[in-house]
This record gives sequence, structure tokens and C-alpha cells, in this order.
Amino acid sequence: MLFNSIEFFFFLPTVFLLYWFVFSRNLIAQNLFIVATSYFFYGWWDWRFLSLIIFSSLVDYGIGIRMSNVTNDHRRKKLLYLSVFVNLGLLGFFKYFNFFIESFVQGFTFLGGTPNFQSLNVILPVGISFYTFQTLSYTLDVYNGKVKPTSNISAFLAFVSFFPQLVAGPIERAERFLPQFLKSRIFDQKKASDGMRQILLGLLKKILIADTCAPIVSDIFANYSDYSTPTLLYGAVLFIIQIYCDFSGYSDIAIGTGRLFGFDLLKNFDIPYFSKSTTEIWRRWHISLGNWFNSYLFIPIAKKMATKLGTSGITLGLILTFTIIGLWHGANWTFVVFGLIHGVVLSFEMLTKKARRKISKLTGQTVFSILGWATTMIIWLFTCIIFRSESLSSGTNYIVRMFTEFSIGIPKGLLSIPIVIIFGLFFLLEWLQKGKEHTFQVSNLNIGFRWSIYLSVFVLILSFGKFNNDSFIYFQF
Amino acid sequence: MIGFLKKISVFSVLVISFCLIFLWAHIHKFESSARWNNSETESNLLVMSEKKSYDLLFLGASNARVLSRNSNHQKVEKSLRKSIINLAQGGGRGGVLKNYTYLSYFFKKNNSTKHIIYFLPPQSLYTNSYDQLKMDIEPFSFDFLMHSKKAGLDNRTLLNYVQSKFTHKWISKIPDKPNVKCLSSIDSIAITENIAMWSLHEKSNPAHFGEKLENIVQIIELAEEHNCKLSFVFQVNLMGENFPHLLEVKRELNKLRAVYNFETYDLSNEMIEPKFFYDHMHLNSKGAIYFSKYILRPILEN
Repeated sequence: MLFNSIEFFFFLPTVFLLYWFVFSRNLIAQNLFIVATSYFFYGWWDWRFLSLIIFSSLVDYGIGIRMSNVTNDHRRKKLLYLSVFVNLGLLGFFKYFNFFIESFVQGFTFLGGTPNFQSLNVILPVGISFYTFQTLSYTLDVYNGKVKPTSNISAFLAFVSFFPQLVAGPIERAERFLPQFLKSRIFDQKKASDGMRQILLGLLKKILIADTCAPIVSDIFANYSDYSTPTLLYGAVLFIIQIYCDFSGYSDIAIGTGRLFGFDLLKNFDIPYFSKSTTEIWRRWHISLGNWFNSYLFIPIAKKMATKLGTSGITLGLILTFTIIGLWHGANWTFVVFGLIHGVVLSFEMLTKKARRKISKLTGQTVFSILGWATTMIIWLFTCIIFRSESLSSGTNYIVRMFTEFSIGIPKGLLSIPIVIIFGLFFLLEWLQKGKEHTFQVSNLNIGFRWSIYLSVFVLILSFGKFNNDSFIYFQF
Repeated sequence: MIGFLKKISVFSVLVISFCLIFLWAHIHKFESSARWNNSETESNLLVMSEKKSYDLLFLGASNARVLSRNSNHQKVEKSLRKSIINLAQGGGRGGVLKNYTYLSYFFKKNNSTKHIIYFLPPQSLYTNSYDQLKMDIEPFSFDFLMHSKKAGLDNRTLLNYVQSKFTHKWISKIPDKPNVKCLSSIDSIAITENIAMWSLHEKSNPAHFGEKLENIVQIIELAEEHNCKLSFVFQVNLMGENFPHLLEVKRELNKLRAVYNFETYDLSNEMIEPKFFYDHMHLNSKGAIYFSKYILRPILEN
């Protein structure tokens, strides 16, 4: 079920009322209700893949309990490996099987071999990368002693399947999120009202901004060989706005919905396009994924490699982590290269930190910040072209054309007044978010003004929004 | 909690009232506006009146719509010497279910026709995309909304229909000039690209065939019920022999002919001069007139 669908419009109030009026007296009943509604929410897309979530959840629940009874570190490690094997095995099979087979075949063919491997017709279950990482975080946190294994199965199943963030995050870590299912929730009007505002903001970003950009971006990327520099640049700029509004819009709706049910989900985006370095952009973009990889992959790897190789070890760890982050997005070399470039840039920024500080003193902070922002956005823009392209070759051709096919103007039909308004609206929303959890945190304003804002946003969505029920981009990851 | 629910309810009432007032104003404007003719608008509801009789009714997609666009409608009527209402929809709107929806609404309004000609694009039986969304072109009518629901259009499409009325673009008056663009030659690369596009999964999914064939049967039964002659026509085009799904659809229609009474005409190779087309699928104004005078009229007269 999509957040921007008519089904969800009926689903959410129904679940909300039942949750607070029927199931609120008993924590187990409330958690079981979350599990049932979350499975219903997921099964609306394809009920067959529910079995994967249930299987993953039960395996990690069982391993958690088993770990609590085992003191031998070697056996605890074995249990951890089992969890990693099961979760990454499922992810690997459903998401990467064909990619690895095809890459293997291509590699061997290139070297003159004739391997005989068949790819399979595997359907990618929606959100598998998100819930797999969430349930895996539990065994990792239990193993590291950050979380006590829970015997409360209803709380655990609800933690893995909580519908607002089940299919596209924010990816919560057990250490932070699981305890919220173990204590009773009390309705907080302020929190719920703020949640509603954040949902409205998410819908505005998705339906009005992202979905308006989507057809133009699709057209330009599909027919890039017909266009010249200004149009290609325009397409790339629209894409970075689209992907940001699509994904952060989803996160806003997820966080807002979570707040309606008394939960605090992790902030996932923090005005990333105002970042002055690529390191900063990754602190502000898809924060929950960055945190996950930082805690469970980068820090352990960097620690090990730093003892052997010093700074070069940390650099290698960073590049490896970001390459895997790239691969996490999907089974395509475009994502791998996207991650790899970011890993290299982040390493460069880490290694030149002192030198850059000196330069900033010479140029002055303002000039340095502007230069830093411009460089960051250029790197982001070009890597996002690769990210969005069908293949590495089409990505590089797109970029090459940007520098070789000069002409003036953008074809009629691609640039319109609504698009210009959307550009303005996007920057306004981002600017207003500075220092806030989200842009619509306006509870301090007087009620008349507040309601005028809500109504205007509603009218704006209704009048200019695209109601094509387009799926969220990050669902495919 | 109660305070929160009260606030939400008041806000919802405000929003719903706004929507209802807007729709009421919209309906009022639509009701008071004069009827349009097929060459002036792509909308069917703006053209459809009540208790009117026509000699011919066209169903189909863009390749039938071109017979009305660009002032062609009156010329085609003149060539055929018949009054025509064209309910075919262009712009990826002419799915089989949508055609059934419009036809059944036409009869619901107590209109009548002697002969229905369905210019059937074979690929429309293999996709849902022509039956979904894109209802923005029609004015709002609660009666039509309910009728569409009953006919089987999905909720997304109906929501899209209602929402589109809150935008300022719902009415599109099309250019009234003849379409003089014409192809200079047959471009085999363009044909291959077109066929490749139709071969994409969402445009060529056999899973849709069964339900679309049911819609075809509904159209046939509707025609029988209203004592109309019905002809399925595979429209003229320059796509050549590899037109996707043409043979399968012809075969299925032939099976249906054993049970029902209707005609089929495969005209796909009847006009192969590029000057009559503005692309490989669509007739230009000159082509539309030629087609009606020299291809369609003899068929109707027989």
C-alpha cells in the first residue's frame, strides 16, 4: 500500500482509531495489532512475500533468545554469523543473484570463456533492504551487549514490521527503537498534531514536487541522446530535487505516522542540499542508513584496518563502506560506482582536512563555504546522473553530452511555469527547515495563520499535484 | 485525544466543504455551457447529449480520434453522408474498458445509433495502461463518476478524475486547423522502435487479455441489446505485417463471431501511402478524408 494512495487514506484513520480506542489498554494486544496491520499493509502489495518478513523476524528472535543463554563467545559468534547468513542470504538471493551471475558471465566472456549459468526470474520483494537491516541490527546489538534479548515476541515482531517505516525506512536500530515497543504508549496530542503536519509536508514533497519532476526527468534520461547541454543539466537538477523530495517526503510521512501512534522515528534528512562538503551531505542524507553502516560496518572495519595500516586503513575502510552503500541501493554497477566515487571523495576530504582548514582561513569563511557548497553540489549532481542512468555507459554518455552538445534553450514542454514555481517552493521549504525537525513545525504560530497554511497546502496539492499514485523511488531498493 | 479528533474533524469538514463548493461551481459551469462538437474538444461528455440519434458511433483510440480532430469531423460526416458521434479517445486514453464505459453511458443517456464502428487497436487488449488514469479531459459529473465505478474503472482512475477538476487544465480546446503534416517515407527504424515500445511488459502483458476480451463481449452485447450494427475495424496504418497482436486478436474475434453477430474488417494494409499519415499510425487530415471517402464509405454502403 502506498502512502499516496486512496487505500492508505482509509487505512490510516481506521488503524489509528482502533489502536487508541480498542487496543490501548493492553500492550501485547496493541503490539499484536501493529503486527497485524503492518502485515496487512505489506501484504496489500504481495502477500506471498510476508513469509520472508516473518521468517527473518523469527530467526532473529530465536537467535536473540539463544544468545542470552550462551556465554561462550565462540558460540555467540556462530549464532551471529547464522543471523548474518540468513538475512544477507535472503537479501543476496532476491536482490543480487542475477546481478552477480550476469556480471560473472560477462567477466568470463570478456576473458574468452563460455560459462553456462542461467539467471533466474526473481521478483524483488519491496523494502527487503530496509527490514533486513532492521532485524539484523537486533542480533548485532544483542551480540555487542547494547540490547538485552527480548522474550516479548509481539514487541519484537512489531519492531521489525512497524508499517510506517517497513518498506522504505528510516532504518531503525534495535538499541533505539525496540524499547519503544516494550513500554506502554500514551496519546500525546502535541506529538500527534505535529505528526499530522509532517504527513502533510511529506505529501506536498511527494505529490507536488517529486511527481511533477518525475515525467520530465524520465523523458530526459530516456532520450538523453536527443538533448543538449542546458536540457541535460536541467534534467539532472530536476532529478536531484525529485529523488530528495520523493525519499524525504516518504520519510516525513513515515515519521509523522509513527508519531500518531506514539513512536519517535529517527530523523532521516536534514537539509542535505545546504551541505558544504560531501562528508556533511552524508551526515544529512539518509541519516538512518549512514548510521547503520557507520556502526555495524565502517567502525569495526576501520578499527581493524587502522591497527594494521594506519590512516590508509581508515581510508580503505571508508571506500569499501561507501561502495557497499552504493551496492545496497540496487544490483547495478551504476550504484556501485556512485558509492565508490563518494567513498573516494570522503577519503579525500578526510585526508585534506587540515589543508582545507588553512585554505578557509586564507579565503575567509564565507567564500570557502560558497566554494565548498558549489563543489559538493557539482559532485552530487554528476554522481546522481550515474545513479539515475540505466547503465554505466548511458550515464557516462549523458555526462559527455553535457560537455559536447552545446546549444541554447530547453525544449518547450519541458520547462513550464509550474516547474519554476516548484523550484521556488522547494528552496523555500528547505530554507524554512533550518533549525527545525521539519518545515511545518509551526505550533508557535496563531491558529488562524496555521490553518491557513494547512488549507493552502491542501489546495496546492489538489490543484497542482500529480495523483498518478507513482511509487516511491526508494521502494525498489 | 477528543480535542485532537475534534480538530481533525473540523479541518476535514472545512476541506470537504471547499471541495464540494468547487465541484458545485464546476458542475454549474458545465451544465450551463453549450454542447460542443467532436472537432472542438477531446472530451466525450461535453459532446454527449440526451435522447439524440446518430447514424454512426466511433469507438477506439487515437487512430479513430483523428477522424474528428483538426476540423476533420464535419468533413468525414460529409464524406460518409452520415451523422457521427466519435467516442474514441486519444492520448493513451482509449482502452477497451473506457470504450465500454463511454458506450454504456451514451445509451444510459437514452441516445441511439444505427451502427457502431470500433477501430480496435489490437495492443489495447494486452495492457491496462489505456484504461487507467487520464480522465482529466472530462468535466465533472457525479452521474458519470458513479457509472464509471459501476462499469469497472479502478479507484485510482476515479480519484484522478475527481482531482483533475481542481486543476485549471481540465478543459482542452484542441486546434481547429487541419493537420497537414505528412510523412515523406516509411521509416523502418521508427516502426521497429514503436513495436519495441509496445512489446514492453506493461504494454504487452497477456495477463490482461482475458479481462479485456470480456469488455469486448460486453460491448458486443450492449450493441445487440440496443439493436445496433457493430463492426470491428483494424485501422489503416504503415506498420506493416508485424503489427503487434493483430493476428491473435483477429483469431479471437473470429471465435466470437460464431456466437455473436458483428463484422470485422482488417484495413491495416489498405492505405500505404505515407502522404496520408503524419506518423506511421495516424492519418493526417488529407488521409482522414480519403479514408472516409474511399475506404470506409464503400464498406458502409455494402
